[in-house]
Parts: sequence; structure tokens; C-alpha cells
Amino acid sequence: MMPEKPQEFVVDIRGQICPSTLLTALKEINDHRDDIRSGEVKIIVLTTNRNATSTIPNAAENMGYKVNVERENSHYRIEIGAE
Amino acid sequence: MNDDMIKVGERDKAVEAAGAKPVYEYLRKSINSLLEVMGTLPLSPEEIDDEDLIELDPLGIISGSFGQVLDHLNDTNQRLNDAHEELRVFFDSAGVAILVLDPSMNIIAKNSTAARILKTQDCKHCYEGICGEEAPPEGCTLINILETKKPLSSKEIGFGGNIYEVTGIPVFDEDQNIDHVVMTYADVTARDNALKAMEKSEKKYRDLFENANDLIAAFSSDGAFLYVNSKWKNALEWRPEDLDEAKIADTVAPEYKREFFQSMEMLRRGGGNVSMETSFISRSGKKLILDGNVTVSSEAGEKPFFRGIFRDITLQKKLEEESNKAQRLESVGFLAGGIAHDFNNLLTGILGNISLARLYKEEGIDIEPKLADAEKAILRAQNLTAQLLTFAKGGAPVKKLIRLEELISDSANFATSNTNVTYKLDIEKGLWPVEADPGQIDQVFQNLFNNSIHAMPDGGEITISGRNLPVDEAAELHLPIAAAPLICLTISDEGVGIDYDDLDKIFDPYFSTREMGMGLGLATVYSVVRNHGGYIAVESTPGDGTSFTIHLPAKAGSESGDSAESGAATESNDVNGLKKRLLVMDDDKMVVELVSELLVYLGYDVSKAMNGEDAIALYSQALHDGKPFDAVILDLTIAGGMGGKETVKELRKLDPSLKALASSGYSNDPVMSKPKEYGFNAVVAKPFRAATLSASLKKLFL
Repeated sequence: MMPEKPQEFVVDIRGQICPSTLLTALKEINDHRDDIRSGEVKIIVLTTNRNATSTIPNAAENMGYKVNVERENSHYRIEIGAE
Repeated sequence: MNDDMIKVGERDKAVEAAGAKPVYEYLRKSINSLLEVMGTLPLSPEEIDDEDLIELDPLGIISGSFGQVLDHLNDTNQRLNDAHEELRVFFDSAGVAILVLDPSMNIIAKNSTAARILKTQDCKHCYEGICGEEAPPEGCTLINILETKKPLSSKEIGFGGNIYEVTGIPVFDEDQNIDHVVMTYADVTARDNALKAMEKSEKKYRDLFENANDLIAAFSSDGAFLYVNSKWKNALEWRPEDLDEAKIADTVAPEYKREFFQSMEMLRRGGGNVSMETSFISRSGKKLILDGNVTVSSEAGEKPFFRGIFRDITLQKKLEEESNKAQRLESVGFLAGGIAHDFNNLLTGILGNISLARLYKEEGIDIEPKLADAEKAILRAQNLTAQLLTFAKGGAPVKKLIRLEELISDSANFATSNTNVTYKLDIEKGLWPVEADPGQIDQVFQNLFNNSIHAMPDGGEITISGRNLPVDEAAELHLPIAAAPLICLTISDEGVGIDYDDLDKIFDPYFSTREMGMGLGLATVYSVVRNHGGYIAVESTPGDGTSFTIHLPAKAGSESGDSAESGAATESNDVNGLKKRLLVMDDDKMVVELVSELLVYLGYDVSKAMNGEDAIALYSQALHDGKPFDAVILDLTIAGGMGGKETVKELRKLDPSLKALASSGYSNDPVMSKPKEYGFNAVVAKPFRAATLSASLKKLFL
């Protein structure tokens, strides 16, 4: 059973550029893998790096997560959660 | 994290100094190639120095990520395998046969249903397995799909005659060429056969409906037609639009509407069916007579509607009418023939005797016997007309209380004289008297006795029995007459009897089994008995005789009652006219002359009138002249003029002390039974003898 509202882990890496953006995001995903899969946790990545909006979702989807990318003012919000 | 990296960098500056450069290069190279796989840029030394690189541990991060990707892949693979297995089960368990075929029509895969229907399990092509052919047959669905590159459905007949509903869906490769085609084969043989049978059955009923010789229609309770058959349209001359426009109320003939719609209302309330004779009007106004049956359909949730089947019996009705008319004419002819025959015989007797009397008179021979014979023949003619009139409509009996013993024995005596038939009376002592017309009752006995005599050409005995039936005994017989004390008379003979088939017809007028019979005798008997409130029944055994039983209402316990009238008044040559003045009115010149002559002979002073108008004028003139008539004799029926009934009223106005005698040959005229109610003093029935007329006049002047 998925909790009604997962806890959000915000990773604010605005200003970072590739590839450290990706590595930082991946590290967070790796650290919370079980909680994300169970639906308890969502990783929210805030980035200004446009390239990251394809590399992070690609990697996360290959791992079997559901990814949602939105543009918020001057940055991107990448939401990674259970499928 | 950025701060952490910088700190790590400051702490481990010694490592770089130690000259570990080739290791870092190797690490960076490996990390970068992994980052490239992940679709991102390589790490530049400017972005992160060697110390921070170790601290950051990109390899650890990436391998952790790859571990997750691998887990996900394994998971996906498992799910794919599961789905594949599920699909395989679906594929095999499908009720329809599924073949997967390549563009060369080779079977790539088949499900278990397909395996069952294929001609052989090792066949390579669908046309071998399904159609049982060496090559694709004409109209092959798969070939059409391969040509059109579009999904298709059609019907195919398999090698065993099975009918398949075939659907094929092409699956394309990347170049949009057909890679394979998934074909499904649903066996619809049973369904198709059932459908065909249903169509056949429906056609059969449709044929029956359309070709029926009866008019068939269904109409709703608001009168709109739902359907009608061809016969209906033809018979009522309907145009195609009439089905929508016509209403049943416009179709039923006005004089039948009330009955028709009452029946529909009855059906609507109570269901079932109603048989009726009705009439419809065609477009051109032709009236059809129909014999029909209407049922109501009241399925739950549906508005009730009526279904009617009507047979056109217009022609049949016309033929029946014609036949009845012809029958009536035939009957009248038969009756007329009989009367003519009987009358001619009687007239021969009258004429012959008068002629003889004339001859004898010249010779000086006594003519009295001849005149007596002529008179007898005339009386027989009177009987015949009396019989005809009794039988005629309205032959109301002139009833009085009579005892029947004497009448029966006189009648039997008379009928059997000069025959070889005898009779035996077995009548209960003190048989109750009856209210009856003696003349008519006498006719009943005469006719029954005559029939018995005819039935016994070689002689025999008639048994006449009579007994009283008190009201309770009478009730037990359940006769179709009013409850009353009855007398029961039985007249039995030992004659030839009546055929079983004829028994129910013997009381019909004009029915006779005798060659010279008029068929009036038993009809008269029946009519008289019914007019007396009685009932007559017959039993007969061919060869053993016939027995008629008459039940008549009786006056139980009544001791009085006249005996039957003896008939003729005694002959008298008493000339007693005393020069009384009489006015005789009759439209028959012969009658008026004869009556006048007779009256003059009897000593009266006679004036003659041919109609009421003349009679009134003469009577009025006589009054005026101070020489009034002492009596008038008026005929009741004057052809084309004022008859006796009206005349007597006018005369009585002129002279309230008028003495009027009604005279008529219509003995059933009400005036004859109740003269006083019509303004007459008395009656004299035609034909009459001089003595009868004289006696009637004498009574008038008493």
C-alpha cells in the first residue's frame, strides 16, 4: 500500500552543471532506493542545467521510476517516485 | 555537498603529491566512459579535482545506479515472461482458431483450437490446413489482406463444409511491410444453420401470411394499423399509404361499429379471442361481409394490440340469400301446386254435382242429393282454407273451454270411416278440459289420423290415449312450455314409421314424404299446438310405427266446459226476412250478387255496395229518406277501397243503433274473434251456407 502523500526529499542543485548534477541526483536516488520504491519518498531535484532534464529522467526511468519534469520559473523541477 | 568536496580536496593534497596521477587518469577515463553511456558530459578536472573525485565516488554512484537498472531489467523480464505465458494461455484457450502466417502463407504459429481444425498437423500452409486445397482458393481472405495490407473479415468454407467467420490483421515491420498476419477462424456453422433454418421458417410463415386467402391485420388499441397482408390490401383496395393513414374505425361499416368496438373493449379487458360476423368498407365504398376472429396481444411492457383474421363471406352470403330466395320460391310453388291440386279436385266435385243437378232437374229427378254433395265439397274446401289460414302467420286460435273426448272420437270416427284402419280410445275418465279453438284442434287430430292412415296402407289400428298431468308431474317432464297442469294425448299407429333422418324435418312446412302431400299437415299441427301453448313430440321406429305425443295446458279440476261445437247449423228453409232492409257490401261481384239473391230468397229487402264509400253513401241516403237499413253485412277486406273495419266506424257515427255483421274469408282476422271490439254486432265466416247466414241474421234481430 502506497502512503497517501510521500515524503519529499528536495535536492537543490541549481547552479551545478553536468555531470555532477546527474551524479548528485543518482547518489540521492541510490541512498533512498528502498523508500522511493515503496512509495514513501519522492526525490525532487531542482536544477538549472537543461541537459539534466534528459539525463536524470533517462537514468531514473531505466531504474524503473516514474519521472516528471516541470519548468518552474528559472529552474527545472524533476520529480522521481515509484511507478 | 559542494562544501564537502572542497574540504576533502584540501585535506588530501598529499595524495596528488605522491604521484598517483596514472590511477586518477584511469579512474577519470572509466568514469567518463560510464557517464557517456548514461548520456551526459565527462567530468572535467576543472570541475572536480582528483581528491574530490575520490571523495565523490562517482563509480560507486554509477554502479549503484546500474545495480538499480539491472534490478529493474530483471523485474521487467520477469513481467514479460509472465505476460508471455499469459498470452500463450489466452492464445490456446481462445474459442476461435488462431493462425499466425507469414506473407508466404506459411503457418508460423497456431493455437490449440487451430490445431484441432487443421486437416493435418504437419501442413505448412493455411490453405492446406483450413481449406484442404493445394493452392489458395478464389476469394482467399489472407491473399486479400496481403494485397490490400488492411485488416479484413469474411466468410470461408472449410474442407469439411464448416463455415468460418475469418478475421485477419496484418502486423507490419519497421519498413511497413507485412511481417505476419494474425488470422482468427470462428466456426459459425451451427449458428449459420440455425439462422438459415430461422429464415426458412420465417419465410414459411411470411408466405402463409401473405398468400393467405383471409384478410389479416394487426391494429393498436388507438386504431392505427401495425401490419396487414396482401389479401387485406387487395380486398379493401388499399393504397400503400393507407397502412399509415387508415384507422380501423374508418374500415368497419357504420352499422357494425358498435358491436365491433364493444368486442375490442371486451378483449382489452378480458383477453382471449372473439369470433364475429362484421362488415368492412373498401376504399371505393364496397361493402364486404366478413367472418372473423380477433385476439388481443398483451405482452408485459408492450402496448396491447389486436390481431384479426377475417374471411370474406360476401359472395357466400349473397349465394345463401339467393338460395333462400330460390328455396322460398320453390316452396311457394310447391304449396301453390298442392293447393291448386286440392282445390281443383274440390271444384270438380262442386261443378260436377251442380251440372248433374241441372241435368236431373230437367229430367225431373231429385236434385237434392247432388246439391248436398256439392255443398259437402264446398265444406271440404272451407276446411282446406281454414287449414291454410291456421298455418298462416297470426292464426290466433279462437279459444273456449272444451272437453276433448268427444272431439277426438268424432274426429277419429270421421277420419277412419271408409278405410281399413280402426282406432282404440284409451282416455282417462274425467280428462281435464282445455282452452282451445275446437276447429284448430280438430285439424290437429284430422292431420295426425290422416298421417297414420297413410302410414298403414294395409290397415291397422290407431291407439289414442289421454291422461291428466298435475303441475308437479308435468314439471318433471322438463318440457319447453310454461309450468301448468297438462293433458297428455298420444296418438300411435302401427305404420311404416318415419326415417330417422326425416324426424327433425317432419314439422317443417312443405316437407312431405308423400308424393301428393303438400307438407302442410304436420306443420299445421305444430303451429296449432304451439299457438295453444302446448308441445308436440314424435317417436318413430321405421317398420314399427309412429307415436305423436301432445301436451296441452289444461284447466285442472274444472267441471264445466262446452263440448266441441258440432259444426253446421241445422238446415232450414225458414223464410223469415219480414221485408227487413239489408245493405250488403263486398268487393267480389259474384259474392255480392249471390248473397243478395240468397237474402232476397230469405225474404229480405237488399241493397248492394262494392266498397265502404258506396255503403256509407247508401246508408246515409236511406237515413235521409226515412227508410233506414235494419242491418249491414260488411266484408272486412275490400281491395283498393274502404273495408268493413273503417266503414262500420263511420256508419256507427251516422247511426249509433246500427246492426252490423262482419263477413270475411280470413277467419284469423282479429275482428272475427272479437267483433264487438271493432264495432260489429256479430260475424259470419265465409264461406257460409244459407242456413248459417239466416241464423246469424236472426240472432241479430232478436
